[in-house]
Amino acid sequence: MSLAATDIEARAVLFRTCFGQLKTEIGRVFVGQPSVVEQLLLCFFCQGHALLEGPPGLGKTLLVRTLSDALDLQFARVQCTPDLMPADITGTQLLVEGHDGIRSFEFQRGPIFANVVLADEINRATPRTQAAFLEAMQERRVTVFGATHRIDEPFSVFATQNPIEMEGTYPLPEAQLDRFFFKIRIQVPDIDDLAEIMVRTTGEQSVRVSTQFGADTVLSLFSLIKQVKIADSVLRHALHLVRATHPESPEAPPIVKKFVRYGASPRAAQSIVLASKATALLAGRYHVATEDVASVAVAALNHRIIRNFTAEMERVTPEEIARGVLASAPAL
Amino acid sequence: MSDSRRPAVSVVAVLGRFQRRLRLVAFVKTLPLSVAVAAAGALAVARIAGLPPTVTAIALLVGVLAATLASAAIARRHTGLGRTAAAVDRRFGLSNRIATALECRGHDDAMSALVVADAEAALCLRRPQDVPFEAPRHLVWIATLFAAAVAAFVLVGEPSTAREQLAPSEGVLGGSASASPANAKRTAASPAAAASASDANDTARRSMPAAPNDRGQRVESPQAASTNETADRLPGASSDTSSASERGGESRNPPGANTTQTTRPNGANSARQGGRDGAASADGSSRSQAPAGRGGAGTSSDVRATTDAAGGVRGTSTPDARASGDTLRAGARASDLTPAARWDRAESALAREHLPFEMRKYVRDYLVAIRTGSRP
Repeated sequence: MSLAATDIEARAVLFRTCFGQLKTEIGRVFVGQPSVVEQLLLCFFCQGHALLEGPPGLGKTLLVRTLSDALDLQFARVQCTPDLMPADITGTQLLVEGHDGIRSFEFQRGPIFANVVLADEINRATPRTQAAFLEAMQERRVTVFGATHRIDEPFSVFATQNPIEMEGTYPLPEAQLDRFFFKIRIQVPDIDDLAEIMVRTTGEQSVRVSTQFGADTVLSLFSLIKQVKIADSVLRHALHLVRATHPESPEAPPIVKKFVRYGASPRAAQSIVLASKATALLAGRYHVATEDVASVAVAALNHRIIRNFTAEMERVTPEEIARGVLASAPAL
Repeated sequence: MSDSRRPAVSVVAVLGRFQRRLRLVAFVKTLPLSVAVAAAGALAVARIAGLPPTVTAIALLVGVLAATLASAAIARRHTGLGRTAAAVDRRFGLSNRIATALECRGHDDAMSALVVADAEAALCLRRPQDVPFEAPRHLVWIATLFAAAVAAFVLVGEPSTAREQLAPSEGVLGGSASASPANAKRTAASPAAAASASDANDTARRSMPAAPNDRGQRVESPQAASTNETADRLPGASSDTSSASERGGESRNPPGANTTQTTRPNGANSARQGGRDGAASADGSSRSQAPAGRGGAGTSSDVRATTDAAGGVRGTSTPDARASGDTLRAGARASDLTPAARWDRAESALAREHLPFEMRKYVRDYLVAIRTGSRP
């Protein structure tokens, strides 16, 4: 066995360790819903962006904040409001005076240049401001006054939105939604989790998380994830899932033909494959299996499926449609 | 990077053993269906064509052999290395390990080497014998199909036993068999033709006064029309006798007249076909080209040619019969042969003909009865 293979094995072990430690640290603050934490971490290690959706008070902001606390990374929080301007996110040119008394414009970086960005209640920002996130999320760079500024890696945007309060909000356009790696739905905790939350938050001692690792480790692990192998048959299985979300495609199951107006983009396939690779590493494998694809497909597809009027009238959720697509996929 | 390539060969080698096992499993799985279909088909063809048991057995054998080859081909086709890898993954719950390793073989990167090594380790723990044989799908339907085919073969064959009940003296060779319902159905191209074939049966029986051992009277009598028909089936008389029967057995043809070259009312080719197709062509209606064919009356010359070619019973033969008969093509005139040689020739000629079993038995009994040594 070559040295590189040994190195890969060591990094794979490191990945599993880091993932476990982060999960444990987050679990000390964020009670319950381990699948939500796993999806968030997968998204982070795959250098994707996540949209967390849930009613108020379920700990969406706390979850992301805890993640940033557990990492030795730059963290920025943007509280989105209707009067938030794009420059408040990307930064702007400021007139500054140098030591020699000469005044010049200098680019003042906005919060988007942090490693982990929390865009709280992103649907309260105006479309213009939301669009400011677009280039940053996809291209990982910002163009201000004609000058392009690269964003440091690792970079992830975690946005939250409240699906209940729709007044005064600006729903994210499909193009914006497509840029999110996962859409993670946070559920109301059960009574045991609620009791644990009460114990932790109403007691005398407050829980603090410890910093685990920094940017280099994250980038190294991201590089490792990309090296994981995927067989052609498994890849085609993932692509089949994406194709099946399009009602006009022959692979589409009846639920898609009935309830979907437009299906997932190739970005969905990218998300599925990348997240599957990370899942495979977590399972101790160096290759992707179909169960890895199945475990991440719903989170990658549900915000990319655009329902038609019938689905909205019959209250068929995109998640149900994504599960229908997964169930109808032929076995390998 | 030889380190990463070396295990890949091993994976393929191990996978080869699984491939052979999966081929065997697939072969066993598909064999019952293919054999059942082939056997049922062979039985159906044998019954429809009225093949004798020997030919039926051969058809069955060929069908089963073809089915076996088809199953082998299917098993081979559906168990390539990729499919084998997927099947092994699925069978042993290996999470696409083997399929991925198969694609990674030969890659130089360390991750591929790890994948291949992982697959190799997983395969080492499994044996090809762990892949169990599978019961074929729709086994009940396969068994039902086969049983139905056998039952149909047996039951449809029952009516022919009625012909066996006919006394040997009731009709000479063609009479009863040539106009049997099965043959009439087989050869009649239209209901009218079938009806005429049925009529031919009656006519033939009525016109069959001679006993089997009454050789001289029967074969030379113009009334022994259906002799012509059955003898038509013997080699050496195919075209001539069938043309005679094609002419409809009008019983107006003068005895001894060699009508082979003279009159072929509705096409000699079809007459030849009718003569070969079956005994129902005695009335010449098997191709619906010989109108009002009745009785299958032939001519004495035809009969002579036939019997001569079949075994040299008469000791003479017409040039036409010589020209067309397999036996005569073999060389010597039948009259030049010894009785034993004639008998052998008749036997072989009879064996080559596609005759129903009862018909064959009847003809053979007849030949036994009329041969020199058996005369009282």
